[in-house]
Amino acid sequence: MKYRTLGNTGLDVSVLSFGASSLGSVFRETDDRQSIKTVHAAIDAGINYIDVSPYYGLTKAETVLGKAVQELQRDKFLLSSKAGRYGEAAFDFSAKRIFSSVEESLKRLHTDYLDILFLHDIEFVPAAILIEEALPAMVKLKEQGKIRFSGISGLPLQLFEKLLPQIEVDAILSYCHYSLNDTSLLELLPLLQAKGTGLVNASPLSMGLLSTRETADWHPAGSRLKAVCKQAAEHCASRGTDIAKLAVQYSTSHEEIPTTLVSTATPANIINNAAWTDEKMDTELLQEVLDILKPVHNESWVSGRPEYNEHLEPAKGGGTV
Amino acid sequence: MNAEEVCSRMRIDAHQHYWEIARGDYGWITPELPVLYRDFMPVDLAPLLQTHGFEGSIIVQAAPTVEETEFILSIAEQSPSVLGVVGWLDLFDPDHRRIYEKFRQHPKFKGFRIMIQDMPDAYRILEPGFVEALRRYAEDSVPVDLLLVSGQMDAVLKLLQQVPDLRGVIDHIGKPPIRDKEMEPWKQFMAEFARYPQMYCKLSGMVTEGDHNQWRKEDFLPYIRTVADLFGPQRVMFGSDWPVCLLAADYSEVMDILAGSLPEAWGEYERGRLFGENAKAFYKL
Repeated sequence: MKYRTLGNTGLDVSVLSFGASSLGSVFRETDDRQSIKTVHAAIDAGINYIDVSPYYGLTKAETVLGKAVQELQRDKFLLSSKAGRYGEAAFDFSAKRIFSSVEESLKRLHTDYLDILFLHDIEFVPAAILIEEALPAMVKLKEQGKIRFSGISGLPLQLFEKLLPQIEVDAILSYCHYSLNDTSLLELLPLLQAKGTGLVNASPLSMGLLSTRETADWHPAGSRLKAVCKQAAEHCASRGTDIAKLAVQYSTSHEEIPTTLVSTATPANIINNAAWTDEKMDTELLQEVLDILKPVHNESWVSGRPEYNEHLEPAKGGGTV
Repeated sequence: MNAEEVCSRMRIDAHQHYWEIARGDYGWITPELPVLYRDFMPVDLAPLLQTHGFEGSIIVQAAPTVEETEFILSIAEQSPSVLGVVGWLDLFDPDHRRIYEKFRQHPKFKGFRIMIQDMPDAYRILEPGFVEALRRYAEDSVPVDLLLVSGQMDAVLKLLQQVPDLRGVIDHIGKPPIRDKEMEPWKQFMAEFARYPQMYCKLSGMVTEGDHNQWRKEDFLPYIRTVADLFGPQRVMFGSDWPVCLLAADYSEVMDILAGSLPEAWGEYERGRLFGENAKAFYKL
């Protein structure tokens, strides 16, 4: 396992990190004992950073992860959680809720501090509540030693482009923007470097788009994007390779992208994923896959408020009426 | 169905549009849609209404602006065939009530439509301010058209759970993916919507959700039957969605598709409800 530094935080993170959302049975029913074993397997494989949120499985992911944390030495790994999102449409970024949220997370996670606290999916709320309530709350939490570093998370990159120049945070968590089909995160690197902001990348499989299986109905991607990604996965399968391997290798290979979160509740999966990062990438296959994905390169979807999705105008200002 | 079948009941086309391109606020009507990129006014629709025995129609807003609603209200003033106008209202606008009261001064203003379809995040309709605003209109029994696409049905269902008394109508049967012949989860959501006794459904706008160039009549049958079964003859309305329908079919074809796909048990009474009486009741004409 390789390690890289997370911006000005100075934290050394493994290039592959563990996202605990799967532990909340977000994607399928899970066995908690298997989930806990998966966390141990991740740590044993050299992964030193774990991310979670109270939103995942509506606190279940934190609760299950907490059981594993109890069995681990807390200073041997880095842990981030989030605050502000608690349901599909349930957001609360008031200072009061941020404080209570962190208290609850610490309890569930059986720890007395978080290495990073991210404000979760902030593209859904007006910037004012973040600036007036949530961000000052994080400053306070740092003073109290309950969190070491602060961060924000969300999907549209425009969110970070607009907010980072006006706020102070130590890290951001971006997902679905540095993978085989979408490398738009690269456009954000100069801003992050200028500010020394740490970058956590997530969803190297674009939330399941890069798979031979049908994408879940809830997946917000358009049908063409879904179809082309599936085609790329089938091409890999025809060459005897799981596209997940290529995807994980690709997303973890960029020196300026310190760490990429993958999520699973199966020990074998995390062991495989970790092993892949040390193997050499099949550059010939990579080129073929990138060629297949070219027509949909950087194609994304709308998430949250219009001011963060201006680059993704709904088709011609709306559908037929 | 043709003029010979006209009966004593009121026959109404419950959903159509007029527009004047030069007004400039129809974001979605672009030169890339040459069939629609021209003006459509009452003089264009009049012969079609006559041929099919309709006394008149409901004009529905086609642009998300107060000005466009005022424009169609002005058309309504001069056109006896316009029986009612469904305007546009932005419930996120703190001023919505004042605008509504102003619209209401006009005798042909019958209700408003919320355009969920173009919202980047449909779940915004669950914001407390939006829900509260809609509740007020529900208390006043104001007819509300809902324009959504099938991917937004979960958000709409959650909205109905919070505003169960909404006097609402789902436009264009909720825009299911007819061209992909998919029924689920659209069907399940429609069943949920139909449980709300005040909710209606417009059997309109279907041809543009099918394959524009190669649709077949039978493509629409399962969708029409599903809506007919779920909402029953008392809560469905025919709307031509003219001139938008012209992207895929002409007025007569739209009529043929629907009239030929109704449940066999639906006789003159049920068809009378569908082709006018329900619109009259819903919009309080």
